[in-house]
Amino acid sequence: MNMRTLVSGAGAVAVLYAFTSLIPAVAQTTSPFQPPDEKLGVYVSNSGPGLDTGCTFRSGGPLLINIDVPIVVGETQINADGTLVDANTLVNRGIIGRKAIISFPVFDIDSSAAVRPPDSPEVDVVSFNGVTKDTLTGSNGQWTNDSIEVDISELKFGMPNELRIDIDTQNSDELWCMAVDWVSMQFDVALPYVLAHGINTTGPDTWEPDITRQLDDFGVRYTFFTVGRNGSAAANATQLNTNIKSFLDDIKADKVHIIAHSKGGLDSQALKALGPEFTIRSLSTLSTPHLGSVVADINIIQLMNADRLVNVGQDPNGFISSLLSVTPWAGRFSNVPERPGLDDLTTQAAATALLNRQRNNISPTFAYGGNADTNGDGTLQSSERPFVRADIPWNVMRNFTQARVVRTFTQPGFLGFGTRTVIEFRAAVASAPLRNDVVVTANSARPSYVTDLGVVLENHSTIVDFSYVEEFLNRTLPLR
Amino acid sequence: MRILCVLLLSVGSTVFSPAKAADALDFQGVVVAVNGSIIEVDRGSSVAPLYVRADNALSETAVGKMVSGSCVMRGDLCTATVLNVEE
Repeated sequence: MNMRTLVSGAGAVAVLYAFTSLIPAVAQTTSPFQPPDEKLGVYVSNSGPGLDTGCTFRSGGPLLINIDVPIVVGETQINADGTLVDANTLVNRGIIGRKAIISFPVFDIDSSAAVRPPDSPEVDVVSFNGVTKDTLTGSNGQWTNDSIEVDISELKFGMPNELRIDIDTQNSDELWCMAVDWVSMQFDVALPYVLAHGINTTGPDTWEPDITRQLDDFGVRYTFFTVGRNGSAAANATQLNTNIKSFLDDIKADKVHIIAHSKGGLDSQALKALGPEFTIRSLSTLSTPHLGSVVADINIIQLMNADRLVNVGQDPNGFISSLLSVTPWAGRFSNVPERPGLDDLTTQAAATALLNRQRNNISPTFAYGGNADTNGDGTLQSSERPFVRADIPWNVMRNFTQARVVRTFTQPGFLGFGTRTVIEFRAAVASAPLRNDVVVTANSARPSYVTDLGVVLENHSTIVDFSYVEEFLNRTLPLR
Repeated sequence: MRILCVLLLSVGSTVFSPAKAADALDFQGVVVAVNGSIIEVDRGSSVAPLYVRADNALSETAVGKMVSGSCVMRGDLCTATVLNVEE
């Protein structure tokens, strides 16, 4: 072997090669410490600049390691530089923890080395986002799982956070090297929220601007989607599944709270029945017809295209007749709930879904019901009506529990020409007046399986109010 | 006799000074990285890599070449008194 001598110092000595094994190990590529699994509030940087560098001396540093933390609180709570606008308020509300722990296995930290002057033991300075935090401690030739604690106000969300390690800061000559395997960031944070709209509407029409603005102010991470306007609960559940999964993946979350209005609650339960990859940690419903709606029953009967509908049950005040003749719920006007979504709102569909465990399948479920009779006089005054003839469905909801087809048959047409189809149905009379919000009864909105938050003096539209959403938040925020 | 003295000196150093200073050794291995004047020498799978500071900086072209020499430990760094590079 041809060798050339680069450096030739005085007093070169020969040492038996076997003695090289006495030299401590100074480099490894993998620590014995496994990084945590990423999830909401736990983020890991396990490759990239500053990591797995081998034992690195000062001239190879400083080690600059980036840790990406997604936006896990409301997007309006974030300053342009990624820090929180008002960390104290979010902490006091229980939305996010006061501190974050940054952990990182470090190799060969000779912080306690006995050295001869003028040499100093290893002093490696750790900084986070430009602020000096600590010096490393550890052992010669060993991996140590080190950590620092930082205030949550120091974190940057939606952009990289920088962990910096200045190596061997106390010696004029380079003496000490070190390495970092991975870095993790952990802090407590509330689960994200998804808002689920009802039938015959959209996400923006339901939640914007009032609810979204106040949710922005409150500070939780949330989103909403628009699913099939009149889609079935099963079809909408499939859309929600895809959309929510994508939303959660972005922030490494695997749990979600859902706040739903009306049929959105049924869509959410259908989503649960699909067995999504994520956990629905809670469901909160505003006037969801968990047990169905007699008005939907009658609407479906009307849509059967019979030539004649006959109520073989009682109708002492003619409310059913009125509904059959003039109400926009009859499907004779545009912009009313339609099939197939309408089918999920019937009392029959509710009974079947409950039997099949496609409802009552999310625990906990919090629920409000509405009562449109705000003055309590037993009638729906003009001022209490969300639309002109709202009194018609309100009276049907108040006095009947369900309507079911008894039989369908044909009979000769007028003057014996042709035939016509007749549907007989029976509308069951309620034993006592039922409070309702014009679309859903308070009983249907608050079945036995929910945590009942009460009946509020609202109609089906006005019940979408932040005061009720805020109560949901208060109930669900502690659930992680 | 000279080897024995060095041996005793090395053992003594190891026993009485837990720091990495004053351990002198001969080494031989392959350059796996060059960072300024510090080279990382792979001495085989059974021995940890050695970090050696040469008085003259080596270029990246030294990576993969066989080196041998003698150095003295100071901290984590072995300061070479002799460093031979394969032509």
